[in-house]
Amino acid sequence: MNDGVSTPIWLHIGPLAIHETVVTTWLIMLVLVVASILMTRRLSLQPGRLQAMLEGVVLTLENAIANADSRNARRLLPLIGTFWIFLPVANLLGVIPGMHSPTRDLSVTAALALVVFFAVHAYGVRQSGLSYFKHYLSPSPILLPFHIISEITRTVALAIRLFGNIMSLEMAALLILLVAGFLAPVPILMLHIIEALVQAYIFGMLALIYVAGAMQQTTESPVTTSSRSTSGAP
Amino acid sequence: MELDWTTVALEIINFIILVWLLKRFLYRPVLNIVEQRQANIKASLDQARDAQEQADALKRQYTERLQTWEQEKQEARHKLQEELAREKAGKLESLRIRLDQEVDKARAARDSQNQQWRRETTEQALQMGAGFASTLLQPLADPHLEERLINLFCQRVSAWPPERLSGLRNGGDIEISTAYPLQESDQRRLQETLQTLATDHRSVLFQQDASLLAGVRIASGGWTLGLNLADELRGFAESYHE
Repeated sequence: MNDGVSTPIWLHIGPLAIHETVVTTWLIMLVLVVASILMTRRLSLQPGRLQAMLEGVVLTLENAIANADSRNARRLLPLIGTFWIFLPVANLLGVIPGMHSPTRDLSVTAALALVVFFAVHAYGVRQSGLSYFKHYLSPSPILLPFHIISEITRTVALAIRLFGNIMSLEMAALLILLVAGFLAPVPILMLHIIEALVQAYIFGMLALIYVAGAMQQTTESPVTTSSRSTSGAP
Repeated sequence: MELDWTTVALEIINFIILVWLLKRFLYRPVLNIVEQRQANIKASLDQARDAQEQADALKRQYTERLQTWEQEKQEARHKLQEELAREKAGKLESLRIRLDQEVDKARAARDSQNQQWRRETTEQALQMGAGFASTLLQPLADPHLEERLINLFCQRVSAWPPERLSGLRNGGDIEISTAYPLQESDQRRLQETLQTLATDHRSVLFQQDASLLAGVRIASGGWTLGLNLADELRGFAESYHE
């Protein structure tokens, strides 16, 4: 029985159970990749409207990243840009009747949060080597447990924040649809659109701040600052 | 709401693949074309900058050439003005010299003309004076005047310097001319006086010459001496030439 929160299993491949959210993610990936291939197939030095729009989107993403870390904007663009492209589509998918946002699944948001978690350390180590981990011992080794707790809690907060907002919006729309009938949840769907875009932006921006903070680590730890910045996020 | 680790793992893999695919098919082509366009724009800007620099260099060269030409023009004009001034000064100097010469020539001509006029006027005046005097003295001339002139001759001749009388001493016979016939005493007094002056004995010839008006003329060879109105008036008229 679908409780509105759990996602159904579509198929089994051996011992692996493929849930609906995974299939939806594949569908989104397919759409994004095919659209990208189609739009970048005939790029020219004299851009048309579509190419100008596409270049505007990519350059806007790069500039937004450069505002946080101007030196590594080009390196961070694939990861952060993909968050800012994938998450709005994934969040807004629930607006389409019969479809569900993959981000209403905690497993998906947890996976994305884990990607951010590992990306932070991967970029940090790539930037500073193993000395990157020294910032956990600063300003005092006594603070090491608190740094670890901070890493875990901000990752959990990333996952829970996106999951909770998207799941609650879909649940609210579903309940209003069940109680009030057709067209009644339209206002809440408009709120869903805004909230989906805001949450996608917040998730990508937080990921950018975490990764940029890790890449700028030397002796002091901006992770604490980044952690503080998450406290004000919805 | 439970966490499915299979889904988590698959989603992680899905997202990483999506990152790679978008990087491959979206970010890289778009950024490449943007960079290519920026490179073209930069090349165009560099080309425009080069053209601008060449234009500036040409403009600078043109300006320098203009300045050089202007300087050469000024120098040539200055040189021409100097030559004109020099030539003008030379011509003015030569003109001034010619003018001075002309002025001197005119002054000399004027002086010469004045002198000629004065001489002619003087001669004319002397001639007229002599004429007037001759006309005036002609009625006054008589034997008494001649006698007084002979007396005056006899008084003065002894006081004359010896060189004035050298012609008399070196001459031959003595001719004594008078306007009126001389009395014998006058003849004897003249003869004695002249023989005393001649320091030797000479023959003396007396004759009458009315053109003398009054007085005496003594001639010996080429030497002539006299004290008469005609010779005195002629001497007066010819005194200018002396």
